[in-house]
Amino acid sequence: MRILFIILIVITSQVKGQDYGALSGSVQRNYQTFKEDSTIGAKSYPRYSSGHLNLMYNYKKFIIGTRLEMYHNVPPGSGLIQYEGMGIAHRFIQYKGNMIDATVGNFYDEFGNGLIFKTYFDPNLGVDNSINGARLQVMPISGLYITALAGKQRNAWDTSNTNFDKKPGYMHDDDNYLHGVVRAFNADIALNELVFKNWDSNINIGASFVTKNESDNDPIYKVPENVGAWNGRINMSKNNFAVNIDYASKINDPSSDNNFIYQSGNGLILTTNYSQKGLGISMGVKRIQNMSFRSNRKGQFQEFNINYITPFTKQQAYSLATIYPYISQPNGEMGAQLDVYYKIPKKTKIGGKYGTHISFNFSNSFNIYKTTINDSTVLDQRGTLGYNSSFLKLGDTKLFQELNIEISRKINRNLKLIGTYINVINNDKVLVSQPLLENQEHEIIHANILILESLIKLPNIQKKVGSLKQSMRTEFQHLSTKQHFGNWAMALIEYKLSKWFFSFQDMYNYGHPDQPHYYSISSGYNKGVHRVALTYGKQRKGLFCVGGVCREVPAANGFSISITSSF
Amino acid sequence: MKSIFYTILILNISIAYSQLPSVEVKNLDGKLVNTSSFDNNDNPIIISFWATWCKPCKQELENIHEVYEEWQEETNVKLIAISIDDSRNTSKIKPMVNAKGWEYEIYQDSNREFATQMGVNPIPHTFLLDGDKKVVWEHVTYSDGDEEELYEKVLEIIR
Repeated sequence: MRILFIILIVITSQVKGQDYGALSGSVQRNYQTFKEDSTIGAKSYPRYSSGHLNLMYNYKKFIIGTRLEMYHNVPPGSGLIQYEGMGIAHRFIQYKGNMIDATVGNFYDEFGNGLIFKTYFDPNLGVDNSINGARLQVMPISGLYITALAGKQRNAWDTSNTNFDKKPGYMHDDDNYLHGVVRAFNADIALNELVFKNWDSNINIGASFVTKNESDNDPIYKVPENVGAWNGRINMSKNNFAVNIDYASKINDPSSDNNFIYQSGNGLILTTNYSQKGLGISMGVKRIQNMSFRSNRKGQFQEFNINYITPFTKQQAYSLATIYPYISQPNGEMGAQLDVYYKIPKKTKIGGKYGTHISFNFSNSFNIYKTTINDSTVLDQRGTLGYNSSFLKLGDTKLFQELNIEISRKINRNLKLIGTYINVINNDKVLVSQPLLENQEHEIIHANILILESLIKLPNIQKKVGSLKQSMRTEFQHLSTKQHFGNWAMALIEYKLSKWFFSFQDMYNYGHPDQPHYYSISSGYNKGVHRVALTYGKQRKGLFCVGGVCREVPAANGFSISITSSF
Repeated sequence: MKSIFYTILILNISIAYSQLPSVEVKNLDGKLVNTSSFDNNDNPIIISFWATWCKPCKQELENIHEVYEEWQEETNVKLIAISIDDSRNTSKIKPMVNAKGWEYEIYQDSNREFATQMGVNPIPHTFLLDGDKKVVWEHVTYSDGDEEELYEKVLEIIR
């Protein structure tokens, strides 16, 4: 392995500036120390370090790529324990012609919204479900795209050796070489390019079929060894309107996720949007029933996911707004979402000199309607059909609801203010995702959040040669709730001087019986694509989420260093 | 083995792309477009990776929007904004962009294939390409006023 990297480095120095192809890549390194802090429940652990190095070499129509991963001293309770070790987690060779695109090795892909197929990599979440196998993409004529692929999914490391040097983990069964194999076929057609060349509206259609094979090793139940899922999509747009329909269906697939019931699955995502200059509206509905789809029926958390059920809520960025996130419910959810974006024109009385942006978001999610299949079985009873459901009927339990209003206004050349109000209802009784105090139970949480952010441009500092740019950013946030850990207040101040930044923040959970402060101070340096940041402070125990996929983070007190770079 | 990470960091190999990677991205009407076909008649191109949930990214695009007309008149530069939003937000991109009145070429790279091939990790990540579509400058993160440095680089190209 070491040799491979030396070779790659030698190649890069050889090809520098010449026409023998190009090497590109990125590096990420993180360190974190943990010391005991009883006020926030943080424990002491050895220094944790993690990192990955992505390398890609392009030569004419070929691409060779690899990724090295390292996780050392992963702290307990962080959801990344299974990644402890180091090794080449990803490698591929790809030929990219005009009509044919062929890949051998590990790859990522997605069809439509990912209802039946999406593989991706997110080291912060501990997600890497790449397929290791082969993929062929063909574009026989303009407007027609066909993909066929087969392979096994990566799951952390091979657990058969206990050394620090690891190989990626794949499903294995001596008696069934197809055990864990995912096969998929996808077609996308741009009807305008293919048939209706003179239409003024755009229509794209797509269809996919995915199967997984898995030996039936279950001691009690007879479970299907081949599970198939299909998906049909249509996307239409004309002038300012667009409609997108994505429907998927899946045969019965008893698994740990659905408590081994024999129900089939289906999912629908329907979105529509309208926009003109200054106004945009997006609306959508979503219904998911029993759509968990993994290449290992006993998989948990982020393991072996073949598909991706996207949450239908706003993706929050402010820290207090991320405390009570919604988590997708592949077993069943039904919800709707509305977004409105509006710009009050500039140079008007209300809009001001620069105009004012308003964005509104509302989303909710319910469980699906279920009735027992007969009098002698309970809902979701193991080994049965589980339940009967009616497609259009809403369940009786609200899982989540959120209302967001954000107003952003540039006051003058040097000051911009962003005010946000959020009302959130998080049914933690069902979502069961929050940490608890002793004797506390999961409950429905109602919270109101107010945020004021200001972006301030400061005058340049004049030097003998040139000048140094400086800017500032502040955030004040408040979350009020009668439930869970009570009220929070938060303040942040960030100052940037040329390539340096300094920030200080404190999140104060004054509604909590222990009234903990989570303060942190950080500084960093950023030149081009190279960035180093050093932070000292406290981190709350909770969920770290990206795109509705969440990982637990333990309470921590200590230093952390993060380095990112690309080339 | 760990030293490899440092070696790479220290070497800081910078090799300009001989050409843009060839990857399919989607335009806002859902049509697939190959990234190797990005073109601006031998004039500079700015490629900015962003997402609807990324505040500094939107701030960068919003601030450039205010001076974009001026930039175009003076240098013919074109900005291509690549959204790495996944299916959670794809239907919101077009309404958000139109409400803001951005006149950029916008594409979706929802599975981050183009981003990965361009070495994009954290966003915003902004590239400047010269008339031969070679990356001559790139930058991650954004704070108010950073677009001035970008524009200086654009002016250097056309000089």
